This record gives sequence, structure tokens and C-alpha cells, in this order.
Amino acid sequence: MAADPAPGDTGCAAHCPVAASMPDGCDRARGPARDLPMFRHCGVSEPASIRQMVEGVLHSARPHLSDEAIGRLELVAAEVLNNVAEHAYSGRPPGPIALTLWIDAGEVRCCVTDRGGAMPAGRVPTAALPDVAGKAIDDLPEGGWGWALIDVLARETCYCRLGNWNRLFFRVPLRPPVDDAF
Amino acid sequence: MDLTSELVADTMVIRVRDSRIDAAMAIPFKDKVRELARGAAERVVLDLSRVGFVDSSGLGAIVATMKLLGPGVRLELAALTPNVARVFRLTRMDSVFRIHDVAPDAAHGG
Repeated sequence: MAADPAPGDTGCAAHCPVAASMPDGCDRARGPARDLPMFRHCGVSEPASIRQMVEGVLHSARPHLSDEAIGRLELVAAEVLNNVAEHAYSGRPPGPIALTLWIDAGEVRCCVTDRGGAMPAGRVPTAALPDVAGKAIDDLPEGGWGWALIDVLARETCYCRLGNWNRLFFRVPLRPPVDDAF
Repeated sequence: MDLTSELVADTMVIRVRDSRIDAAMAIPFKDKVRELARGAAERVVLDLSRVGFVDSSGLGAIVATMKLLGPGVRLELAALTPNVARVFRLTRMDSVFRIHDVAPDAAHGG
């Protein structure tokens, strides 16, 4: 995918229930998502606003999810939103972010949209975990875990650039895989 | 950032009273821990029993704090809640820090 393709759906439509013509319109759930409980949280790309959005996600999901699933959803939502603030809006004034979630029987579907810069190479970055084995304290990483955490906590992560918008869709299972170190 | 400190035997115990160490808290957290731990002890234990959430920014702040304390000071962690333990496990940072089930307590002589 090119870094900044022409407006239009570039492949997420099969997963993402958001109307392609309304990249900020996560409330326009399509298809099977239409009847699911849906919640939308909007903010700007600043830490305090992101914290409010994450707390809003918790508030929305708490009646539907176990504490364990809530914990995974909270972490992946925070990492995705932090990435938008730190990378998509890097070198730009703070801008809008929207996170919409749909609660389904076995998963939470999430869609995050923003008006920042496109992801490098137009796709989700590779998610290598920073190496820490045998490192001296001064050589330990102080970041770089975000996409690795998203990769292990979310499923079917899918990115689209739509005009001046970014859209990221992912699913968080309600039950953790039994053989992962959750 | 709401932190308290207490000397228990030869260990400085810093109790985090906020419920989150996230991107909004990363810088105040580093500054406050460094201020509380300055010259205090060779061993600093961070009591995280009240912390329900740490994201990668918070984890980075904890690592940065360990570096700021310098080579003569050991930073250890105690009383991780399930969500916080998950972050350390998934990033393998549980292999970097010494993690105690409970923090030293003055009432029990550390």
C-alpha cells in the first residue's frame, strides 16, 4: 500500500464496520455490527484526553466484560491511542481521535480514527519485542513495546488511510488464548 | 503524582498512591521518585499495590527511573496487581526487575 493512497476503502471493509466514505463515522456501524451495543469516545491527541478516553472505554465495557478481559482491552486501547498521539500527530498540533467499540459475543471490535500523518509504508509496523535479556541497566529500552503489546492482545489489526484520515480496526477476544502468557 | 516514602530497615519503600502510571503520569512519576529516593538508600522498593494500570509509557518511566537512581541503587518492585503483572510479563521486563509479592512494612520490621 502506498504511503498516502487516494481516498477510498483499501481493504479494511471486510473487517471494519465503519462506512468507508465516513472515516470519522464509526457510529455508522454496518452489517452484523448494527445491532451490537456500541460506544464511542472522542478526544484529542494529548495524554490527559487519552486517559479520559481509556477510562470511558472501561466505563462502557465494564458491564459486559470480565475483569481479565477489561484489563487487556484497557492496555491495547491505551497503546493504540498513545501511538496516534506520539506518531501520527508527531510534529503537528494536537488533533482529534475517536475510538468506537462494539461488544460482540466473543470479542470487542474497536475502530480508531484520527487525522494525523499516515503510518510509515501505509501499514501497521512490525511488532518485535525489544530485547532485554542480559542487558546492562543503562542499555535497557524505555519504550518500543507498544506495537508488540497490541500484536499480542489484539486480533486482525487492520489499517487504512482514507483521504486525510487514519483508521485502525482490531478485535480484542473476551477470553485469552490458553497457551499465551496472559 | 501522589507518592509517599518510608525507610524500612535499610530500604526506601516508595508507595505509589495513584491508580495509574500512564503517558500522562510518566514524567511526574520519574521526577517524584528521583526526588524521594535521592541519597536515601542502596535499595528502593516501589510498592505498586494501589496501581491498577501501567502502559508502555509507564513501564518506560519505571525503567528510566532505575537508570536515574544510578549504579549504586537497586530499584525493586512489589505487590503487582494482575493488570500490571501482565504488562511486565508480556514485555519480559519481569526478568529485569526483582519483584516481591509484598512491600516491606515498618510494622513487620521490613
